[in-house]
Amino acid sequence: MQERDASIQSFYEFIKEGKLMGTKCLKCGYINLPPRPICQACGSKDWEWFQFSGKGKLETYTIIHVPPAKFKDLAPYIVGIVKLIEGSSITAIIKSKLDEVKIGLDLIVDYMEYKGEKLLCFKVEESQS
Amino acid sequence: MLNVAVIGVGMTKFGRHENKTIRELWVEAAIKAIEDAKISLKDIQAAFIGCFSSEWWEHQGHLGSICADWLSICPTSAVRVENACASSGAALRCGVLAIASGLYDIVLVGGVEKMYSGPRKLSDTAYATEGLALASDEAYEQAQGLTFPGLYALMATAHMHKYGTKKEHLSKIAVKNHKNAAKNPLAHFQKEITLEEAMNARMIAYPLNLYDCCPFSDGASAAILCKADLARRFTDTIIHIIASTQASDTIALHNRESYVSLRSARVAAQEAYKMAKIESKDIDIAEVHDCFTIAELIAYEDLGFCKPGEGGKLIDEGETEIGGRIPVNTDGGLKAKGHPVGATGVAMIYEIVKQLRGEAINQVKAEIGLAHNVGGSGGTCTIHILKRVS
Ligand SMILES: [Zn+2]
Repeated sequence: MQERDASIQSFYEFIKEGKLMGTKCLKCGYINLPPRPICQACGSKDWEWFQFSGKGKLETYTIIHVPPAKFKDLAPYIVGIVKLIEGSSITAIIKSKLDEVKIGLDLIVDYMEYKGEKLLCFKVEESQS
Repeated sequence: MLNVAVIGVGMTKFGRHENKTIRELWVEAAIKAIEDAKISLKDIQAAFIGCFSSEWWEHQGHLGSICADWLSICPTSAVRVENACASSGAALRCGVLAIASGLYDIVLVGGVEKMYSGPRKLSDTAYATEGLALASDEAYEQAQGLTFPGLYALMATAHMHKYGTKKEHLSKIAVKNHKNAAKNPLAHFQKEITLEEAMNARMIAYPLNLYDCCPFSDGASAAILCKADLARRFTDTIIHIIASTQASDTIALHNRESYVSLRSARVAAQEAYKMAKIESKDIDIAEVHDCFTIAELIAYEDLGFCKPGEGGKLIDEGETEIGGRIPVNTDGGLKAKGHPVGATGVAMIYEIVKQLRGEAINQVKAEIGLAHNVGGSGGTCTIHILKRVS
């Protein structure tokens, strides 16, 4: 029995604690991100929590010039899909200069306080940039 | 095999209808389809209506009954079908299944959406943009500041990186579709644009600018389906639906294997070609879901009109223009004909039927036509293949 459900609420509770968490399938070993109660790869319902290192590469990106109302203060900003070194991918805001963003960029997980919320985002990994 | 024919089609003009509500747009399209089929209201045995979000734009739910009520076909059963931008492709498929099941002989299908301000509710670009975002993943995409154009922009960046596709390829699609819509009286925009204008428009979500995005539109579409053996009672030009398929994919892009192709479209297309016992090269004309220019380019590849990565080459060679090997979006597509989300899938059928009958505005020589209707960023895709059999 897990302490927390593989739920959206749990994912965001972990984000508040500064942890990027997914669910690892106990049957096939696939790491599901975001967490899911049913493995996307094999359909098994047996899982355990898995904490990501937070390191990854930028798979693709866009620069949002016309934002939703909530994100108005940030525009223009980059949103990308990050492939983590453990193999799973996730969508997040990318902290990078607009003219330096490119596919393949080395990134590390970061968090941003925005309008009273802790947002998941990624920043350029300094050691390799 | 499906034993289903299309005997009537109708649609409203796409664009702004500030004095009309959803039910009124729907009735206008439905009546046109009924008159086109030369049937009467009492002949309709069931109705399936696609609509994405009447709640958001008009604060109106329970759409099936309202559409039946205002068309005065009660107590006939009426169901609202929702699969985001593929809502009426899915409604059409429900109609096909309803006839193929043997339960009904004549069915009304269609779709409707109201995205601009109407007499009952105000909307603006910001409100409509947030409405469209409902088709993406609220918890893991919208929450990260991603917009609906942003989703397709992610695909465009990936496609450019993987295959060397250029912004110019995307802009050429916008120019082609505007050209096709210029003579279409039902299109939202009847205005040609230049490549220079398309290349230099205001940025929305890099690399997509304003001319890479379809407009918000109001509008409705409808079609009358009947059991194929009965079609000759109503018309001399018999058009059969020889394939009707639908596939799903993850709602969020990040859970997919590829960002440069839609698995739902590939699967639905492969199943459709198999069902119709044809190959992609047998398609004479196609209506594809160009909510963004990159979506049309990816559709070329997913439908097998060219190899993966060669969509840019196909548009460069003019093969998808009128007069090309496989004309695509002869009515102007979502880009220029407009995209009242829930109405789009059956509006594609309107154009295919007009082309197969020889009644189209931009007539091409065609016997077999395909309609590719995508929901959201590919979470849904429906494919229908129509053939003129006499
Ligand atoms: Zn598994």
